[in-house]
Amino acid sequence: MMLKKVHSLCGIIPPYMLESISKAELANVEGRAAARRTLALTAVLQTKRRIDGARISRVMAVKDGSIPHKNRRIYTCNNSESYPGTLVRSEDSDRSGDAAIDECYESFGATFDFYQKIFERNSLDNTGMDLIGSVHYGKSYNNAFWNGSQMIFGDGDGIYFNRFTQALEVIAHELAHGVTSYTADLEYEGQSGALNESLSDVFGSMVKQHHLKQRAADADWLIGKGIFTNLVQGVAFRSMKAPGTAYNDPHLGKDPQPAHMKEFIHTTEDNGGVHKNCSIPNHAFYLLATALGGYSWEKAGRIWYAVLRQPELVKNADFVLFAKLTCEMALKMYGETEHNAALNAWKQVGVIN
Amino acid sequence: MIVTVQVDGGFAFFPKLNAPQTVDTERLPAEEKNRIETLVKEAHVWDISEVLSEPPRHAADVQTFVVTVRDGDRVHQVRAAEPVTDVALASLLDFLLKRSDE
Repeated sequence: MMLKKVHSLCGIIPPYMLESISKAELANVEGRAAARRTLALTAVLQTKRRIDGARISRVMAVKDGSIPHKNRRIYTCNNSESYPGTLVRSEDSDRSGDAAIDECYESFGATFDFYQKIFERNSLDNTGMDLIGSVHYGKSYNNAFWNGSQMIFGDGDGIYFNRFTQALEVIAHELAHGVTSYTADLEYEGQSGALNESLSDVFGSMVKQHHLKQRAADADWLIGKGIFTNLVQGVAFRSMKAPGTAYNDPHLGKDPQPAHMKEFIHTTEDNGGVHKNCSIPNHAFYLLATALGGYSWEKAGRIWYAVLRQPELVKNADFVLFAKLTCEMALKMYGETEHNAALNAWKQVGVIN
Repeated sequence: MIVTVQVDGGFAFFPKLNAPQTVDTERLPAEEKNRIETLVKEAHVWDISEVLSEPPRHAADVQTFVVTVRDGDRVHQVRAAEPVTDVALASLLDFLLKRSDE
């Protein structure tokens, strides 16, 4: 009977003694059986203890960011302008059935996986930051933004714009602003602001290409594809491949993006035209990625990511500095061929003469 | 009174959607004229600071609303980043932006 009490993880009777009792000729059948059950239970509990220990270590490692682990939290603003709103989907939970919520969740996952697999980056801050998104923001709201700590997405007005969660590259674009803020922290104004925007387009497009397993030559290089309704004469908000050709519509106007420095737009609007002039470094990336061939993230993407993390990329960097750093990085990481391809790409957009 | 509203910034730039929308209340029907002038008054547009709020540090793609009121020689401009928490100013913006959509 005494043996039945031995259920503690820290058993009073040591295992070697239970082993002996289970085999002892002197013990009765019940006693031997009880000893065997206790031994088996002890083994189970010891295994559980090892697993629990490992789990605790993993949780702590996840918490301190040493093990990459997605932690997505999606909220709904219920069409108010207050965020984050009400939590509607968290990590490992089932689909909600609400398209915006599920698109946000899935695209966060695709973006996290891209950074982790390709760059071994653990979330936006590289220490496992939670990915937080709020959908259904405002009424007929035509925008998506990064507020410095989370993403916010509108449903669109349904007239010209569909919901902003429809395009993976838009969600990845907003998340990339998070990566930039935790690395180069480029000032959101003028050329550094346009570089900030361009980096979000570049990484946003690469996330989509990676998700679709597309080679650079096969990708559409469009940003915001599918967000326009059928009423709009246009394919997307921006084209990295052919800046200035994404839309030409009576209601929205004509895509103003330049493809070359000689067309650089000087303006005080939009933080100095960050959403217009970002097309110049965007196009340089497209030219390099397609010149190198293969997948965009294999070489061109790695060069861009390495430069993003370089201390030499100062907060107020301009296009020329970024171009110089990417050319140097191409030479350092790969060699003459890649260096020349990078140089040629920047020459074609007029940043380097 | 001439009131101009502009949505600046955001994920994308669209020349027509982002263009300033101007309304001269003297050219409006009495009811609409009174409505706008009342909203301007209730929002204390003439008295509030030029930069009511700015996007948070590290933020990107945040829209900023710019309202300019002109009455004779008096001109005042107010900038407010989204979300606009000033209820009266939000009402004015809402009215002006809906009106410009129509």
